[in-house]
Amino acid sequence: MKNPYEVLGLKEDASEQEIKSAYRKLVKKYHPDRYSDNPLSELAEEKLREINEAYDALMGSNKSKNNKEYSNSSNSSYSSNNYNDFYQNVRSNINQGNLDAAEEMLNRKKDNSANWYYFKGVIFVGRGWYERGVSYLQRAVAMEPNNMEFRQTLNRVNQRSSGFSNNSYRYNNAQGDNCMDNMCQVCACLYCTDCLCGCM
Amino acid sequence: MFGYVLPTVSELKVKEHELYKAYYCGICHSIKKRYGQLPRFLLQYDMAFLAMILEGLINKKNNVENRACIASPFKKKAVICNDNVLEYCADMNVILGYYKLKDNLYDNKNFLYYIPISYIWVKVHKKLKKYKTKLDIIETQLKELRELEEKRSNDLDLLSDKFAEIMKQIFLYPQLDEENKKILQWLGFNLGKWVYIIDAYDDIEDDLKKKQFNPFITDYKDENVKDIKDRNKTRIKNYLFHCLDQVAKSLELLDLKKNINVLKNIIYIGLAEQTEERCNN
Repeated sequence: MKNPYEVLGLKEDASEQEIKSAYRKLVKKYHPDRYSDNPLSELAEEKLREINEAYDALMGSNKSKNNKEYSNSSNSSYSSNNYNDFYQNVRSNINQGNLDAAEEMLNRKKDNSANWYYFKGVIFVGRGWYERGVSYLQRAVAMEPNNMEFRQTLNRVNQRSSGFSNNSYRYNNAQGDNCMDNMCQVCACLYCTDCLCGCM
Repeated sequence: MFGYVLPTVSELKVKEHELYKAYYCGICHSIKKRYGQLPRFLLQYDMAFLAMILEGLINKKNNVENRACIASPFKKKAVICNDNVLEYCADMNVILGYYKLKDNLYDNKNFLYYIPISYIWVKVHKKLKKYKTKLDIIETQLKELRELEEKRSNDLDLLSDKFAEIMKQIFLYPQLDEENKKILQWLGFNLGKWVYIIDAYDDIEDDLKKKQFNPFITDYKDENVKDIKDRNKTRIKNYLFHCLDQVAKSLELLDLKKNINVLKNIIYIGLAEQTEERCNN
């Protein structure tokens, strides 16, 4: 296993507070929801596993409940009355990354159902055809407005662009934590020096 | 088409900016070493981005030397020296430059382009034989792109997909493990989409004047530039930020040993600001 401090991006003398804070940030960053409908979702899962292992190694038996929460959320955890074997198979193909197979199944059986548009949308997004992807997902949501899975997927996909167009999101990610920590330290030091030394 | 993948220099530390320039110089030197002086005019910043990623994955330290520079005759410049990565990026740079020239010839029908095209082909075709699979895929994608352009397609997904597939090949560095190859391919693919769309958007005015193909123009006779841009602003905003989001997420999965700050600046600030400029104009 890799050095757990390295995995969490910490120095070897990090405090428990620093470990927990780093862990929370990384879990948020590599959360499955951010990497769903994306060919790298397995790699993100692996990274998350690595992070969880590193955290467990450093914190002993103090397992975070996050461990259980973030298991393969790309599989819908609730069942809907609409799903039959055909769409279950399409879904499992998509989850395994077999977009070609899933697409072929849908092309052979075009039933114009909300499910059909939903899975077509998911496949297009996974292939990087975002205009078509979003359009098909919107159609699915319009056909079944009460279907939470459809809505959540569409929201997640729209979140990708709306999140990135936010200035503070970008600057936080560009600079990471180091810059802000340094600034805090500099300001804190100046303040203390000012209090202690009359000539500042 | 090129020269978009740049950092926002004002947000870089001086040492980071120097490092970025050293990579750019490194590719220039590598092109000169492999192909002679003249193909250096094909040099692009975009390949410095790729070189920083690949070097970031492979080596912990940057190997820098001071070398004489044709553009700076009195002062030596700091240059990154790593034969394998820079050689690969130099090759990719020349490939992209060569196809860009061919594209210009096709668009402008200016036969003077045959001079640099033939010169480059003579100099490079032997050394580039090892990339035969890549080159075949790139040529196929360009051919399909041309066919779509002839039909005056407005399908952004389909058009940008062709260039995205080309960049996917460019980012597919053979000496990586399968995991990193997968990440870089998705990164390159989305970056390719971003470049194609933003370039097409910038070319609207020019293409309308010259009645040349542009995916955003629907009526080549009557439309005006402002209407076309207004109509497509939200559309490209969503698409471009979507692509950048995926580029960023790919970068975050890479286990980079160095160069992280410059790369993050390019994606989160450089490319994002360029996108904002187009959308809020």
